Amino acid sequence: MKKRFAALWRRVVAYIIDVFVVSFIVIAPFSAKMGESIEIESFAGFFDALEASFTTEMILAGVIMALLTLLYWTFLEWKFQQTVGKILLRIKVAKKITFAQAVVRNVTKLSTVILVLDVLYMLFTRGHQRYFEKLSKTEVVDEVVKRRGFF
Amino acid sequence: MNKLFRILVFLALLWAFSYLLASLMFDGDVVAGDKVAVIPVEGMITLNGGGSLFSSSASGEDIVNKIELAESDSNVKAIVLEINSPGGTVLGSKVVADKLQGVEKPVVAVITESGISGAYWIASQADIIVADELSIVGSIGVIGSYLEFSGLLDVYNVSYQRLVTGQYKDISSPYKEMTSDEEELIQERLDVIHDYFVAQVAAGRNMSYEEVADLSDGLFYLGLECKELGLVDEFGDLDYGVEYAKSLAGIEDGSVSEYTEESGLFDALKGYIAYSSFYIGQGLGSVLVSSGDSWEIKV
Repeated sequence: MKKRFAALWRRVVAYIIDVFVVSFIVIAPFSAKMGESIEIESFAGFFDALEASFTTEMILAGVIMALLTLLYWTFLEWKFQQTVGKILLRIKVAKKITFAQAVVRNVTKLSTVILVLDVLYMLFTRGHQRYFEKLSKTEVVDEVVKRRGFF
Repeated sequence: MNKLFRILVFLALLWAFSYLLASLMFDGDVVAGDKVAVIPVEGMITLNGGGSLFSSSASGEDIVNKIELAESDSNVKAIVLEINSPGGTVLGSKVVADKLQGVEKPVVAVITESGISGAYWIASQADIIVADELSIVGSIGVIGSYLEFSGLLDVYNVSYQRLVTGQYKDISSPYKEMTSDEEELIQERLDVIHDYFVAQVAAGRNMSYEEVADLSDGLFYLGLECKELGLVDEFGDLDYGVEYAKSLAGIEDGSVSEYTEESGLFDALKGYIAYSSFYIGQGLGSVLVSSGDSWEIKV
């Protein structure tokens, strides 16, 4: 069966869904706990809090959140070829990939700037392949749904 | 195990792991910059707390825990006790006062509306007491009064069937008239608590025992009078107290971290039950269902 590259809009919507999932699963526990520790009482206090946020604990928390976020995409695509967003939008990574491939294709999610550049690249490529997808030799295609029925 | 289930398991594990890590890193910890911890002492003080849906009370143990938390946090440079309390049970106040004696960080007690009796005992252990000119302060004394209904029971031809194994087992029972012997025994114990209370305040305020004893007739004073009497150091509000605490700690900036906790529905219901139990023995209706065991000595 001929593979069909996933439509751009499906990939974007799937990504947005995944961002929501990650926000709930990874970011929310940290922001809840960190929110208790920084109190902003005034506009001037905002800058104090911002300055104060550059503590070792906050930086470490940022690194841990980034790694857990990476783990979400990497593990799911490595094991199942799909994230929650991809399942809902019925798209998937074209074939079974190695863990290293999964890391490479998702590493840009650690940095918004690199991710934006990576996404811009996909606008001009066949099959809307991101640059890091090309590097990892992976593709995202429509999921073929097996139907049972009379036809 | 199908794919969706395995994905859900992974997501649950990832959430649990994130929560665990976040808790280990930040739970109850104040991480940002220099801070002044503001610990509220609000409502009646008891050892284990309790309150109602509509009123608040302070748990001596909770306050002690918060003080320990503030002490262990290296970012907290000073502690402010925000006091608005009519006092409470002897032990509820004592545990907090005892804890404050060992605190090395500067402690400022800010009495907002009232800080009397046991609440003043706590305040007296701070380095500085700040109060408003019209705050109600003092009332150094001990109370063990209760309503006695033996006469009322007689009117209704209800008798108290005394069944005890020790002579003084029902010494505070509201169903019988207290004998002079029993009254003397209770008064002796109230005097012991009173002396202890006075001595603690004297030590905390750097006053002589006699000076405090002269003020320990149970009368409350206004903040204005207290400064002259030596019971209060400064006039001001919470903000003033926080600034004063910063100056004692030698910090210019620093945010305020309020050590308050939001109570859930379960806590509110638990508190309601505890508070209701506390009032048994205090009111007329409560006394009728009280065994007398709930009689408490308060400061």
